[in-house]
Amino acid sequence: MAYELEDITTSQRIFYYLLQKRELREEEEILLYKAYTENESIMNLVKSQGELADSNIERYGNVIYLIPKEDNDFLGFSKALLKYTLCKSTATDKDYYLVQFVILTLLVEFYDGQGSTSKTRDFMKVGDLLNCISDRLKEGASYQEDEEEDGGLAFINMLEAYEALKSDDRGSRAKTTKEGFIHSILSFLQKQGLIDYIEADEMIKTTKKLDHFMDYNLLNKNNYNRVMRVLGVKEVE
Amino acid sequence: MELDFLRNFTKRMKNIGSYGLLFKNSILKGTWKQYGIDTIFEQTNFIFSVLLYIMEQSLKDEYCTMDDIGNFIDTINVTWFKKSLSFDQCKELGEFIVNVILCDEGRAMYFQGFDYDEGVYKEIHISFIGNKIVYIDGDVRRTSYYLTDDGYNLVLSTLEIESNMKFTIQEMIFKLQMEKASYDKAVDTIKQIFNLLRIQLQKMQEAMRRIRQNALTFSVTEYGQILEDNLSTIDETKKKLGGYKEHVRKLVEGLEQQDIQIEKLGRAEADNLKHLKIIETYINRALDEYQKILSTHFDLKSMYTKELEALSQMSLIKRFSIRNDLYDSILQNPENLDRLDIFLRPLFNREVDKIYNIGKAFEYQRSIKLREIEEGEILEDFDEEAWLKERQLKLEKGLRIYKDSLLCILRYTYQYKSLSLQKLQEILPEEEIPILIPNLEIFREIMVELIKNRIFVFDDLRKEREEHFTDKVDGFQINLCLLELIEEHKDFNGIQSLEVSRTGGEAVEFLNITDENGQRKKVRCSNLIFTIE
Repeated sequence: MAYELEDITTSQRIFYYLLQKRELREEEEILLYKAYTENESIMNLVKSQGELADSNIERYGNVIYLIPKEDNDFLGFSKALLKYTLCKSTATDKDYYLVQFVILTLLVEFYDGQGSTSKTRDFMKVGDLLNCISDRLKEGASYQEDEEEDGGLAFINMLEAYEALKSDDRGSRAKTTKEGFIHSILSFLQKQGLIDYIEADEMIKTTKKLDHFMDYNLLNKNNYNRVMRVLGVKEVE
Repeated sequence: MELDFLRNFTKRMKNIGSYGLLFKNSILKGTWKQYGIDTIFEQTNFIFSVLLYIMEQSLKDEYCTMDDIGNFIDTINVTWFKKSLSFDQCKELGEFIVNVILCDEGRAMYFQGFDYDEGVYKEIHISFIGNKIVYIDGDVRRTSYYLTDDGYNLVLSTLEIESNMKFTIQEMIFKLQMEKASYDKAVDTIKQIFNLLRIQLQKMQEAMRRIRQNALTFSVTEYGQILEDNLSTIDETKKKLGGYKEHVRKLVEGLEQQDIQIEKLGRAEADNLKHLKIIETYINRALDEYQKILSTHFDLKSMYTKELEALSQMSLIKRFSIRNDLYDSILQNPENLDRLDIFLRPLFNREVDKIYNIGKAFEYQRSIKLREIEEGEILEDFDEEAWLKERQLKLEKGLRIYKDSLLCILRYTYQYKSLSLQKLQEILPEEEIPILIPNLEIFREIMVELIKNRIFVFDDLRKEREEHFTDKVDGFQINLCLLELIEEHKDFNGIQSLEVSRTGGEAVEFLNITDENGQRKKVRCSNLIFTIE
């Protein structure tokens, strides 16, 4: 199939824009947005460039996103980099798992809905999140009580690590306090444009971007294979 | 702060008090349990049904005895509530609702409402229903219940006037007040009208916010209602307010002319003029609000359509449950956290590494800040003079804050000759603290500069200033600031030098100091001694 040179140039421009900003909003770049949504060959060109860059290009609402695939370490975070970014340099695996657990718990609290959207709540206070994590860790630990300790990771270890963090009402940012620990995670999520974290009110709100990603992508049944991979289930052909 | 909005507060409290007393009388009563009515919403629904029935009877001017009320309760119970109540129990329930809850067993009911005019609590008497003795069929004596004024107010306020009517009503009142030339009252009314427009606008903004969050929580009926309200507001406001604007302007002009040419206005007329001017500003503000409503109206429409389209797409997607399919499994087996990043990956974007262009090394190096200013100048040079002036003003205003803070220190030090920061904190009146510490950052800068320089000998500084001619510096320079302060204030002419030294001992603490972001913090500063010679 033959393409017009102009279409190719536009598609490259869109892709470069996406590389720079990772998202293209209708209200910010209306011409590029229109070119993408209204011209199918441009859309296909951009998508195929995305495919080559090991990413997906998707439009959710009126924003076009560049989404790195699971194994893309260049545009996305590798596990090692994620650990480096989210934890102290001296962090152990236990700390890293705890961070992952916190993020997951936050998502579960916000996106447990089964209606037309998965979003179930408007906001969450940091204090609530802290309590919630503590409860869930205890719950996890209770499941494992009877089981044999096989040297692997156990919730009880994470719970101990978590409870060992000091509690500080004065909003200390030291990573040795619960608040400081959560603060660094929330700041990361905010930097990634996923949540709005209003420190003065200790308020967490999700952004439109996260809402879209959860609804269209993460929780989409088409992407259930990711969950299978997480849970270590081999796909049955 | 203007506290006008607290006027008529007692009146409002009377309305709220009616609800308050009613719930107070109802909630704690155990009797409800006998009838199988446990929750507050069931209780409230029963109470208001009975109230409405009594109102209906009062309006029809028919007797309303306990038998009638029991009968009524029996009817609604059989048809809708389906509690297992016999007819007699229904009568007892009626008796309970009327005598115990609505009449508080015959005791007079009072609610304490604060009166902001006099600054005291006032007792507000509230009674919902009254009773009178009637003779049925000529000889049977019965008690008949009727709704009092308060009762009517309470019941009527539960079904409010349609919002698009409110505007018309207020507008009519305003018209009458203008005709009767009672402008003081008209001020209140036009404020009301303005508030109604404001509320309408805020309603729309709220609607837009909700639609953006989730268009499904916003029902079509609500959407219809808000559009209808808008249209009627848009339709009426412009015409009517436009007319008043002209009218009021003429009145104001007339009075002003009279004031200038004929004779000084009497007190009443001066008041009228004042009120009319207020009315004029409010009409203008209301018209502005009208413009905003108009534009938001169209935004709302297009946004709702768009969001619904997006939603119809979304409903095609099948989703799994994060809690059941993922979270619970992880709670069972934490090892899986090791691979959780696979699930989260799409959310995170990594900064791409930058490439250093070696060519940059050969560019002429300048500080970034300077370049910014330069660029600003290029952009703005179409009216350079005005811009420079504005910038100068801004700088001066900024410097003034520093100067005021220093002046505060100088003034008290001058008084005592030698003064420690600790002492200064003690003698400084509360209202001058914001002058000494405008915000945390500025205070810190001043203290650091003071400590750094340690001694300021003003003759030397003067000499220095004369010998070294420099361009006027933009930022804060402590030497110049102090020098200028001393020259600005005659009292300080005799000051030769200012010495700042640290003392040991406890640090000085200032509480509740705001920083640049408006957050309140505690400031700690080591204790200093200022000495003037």
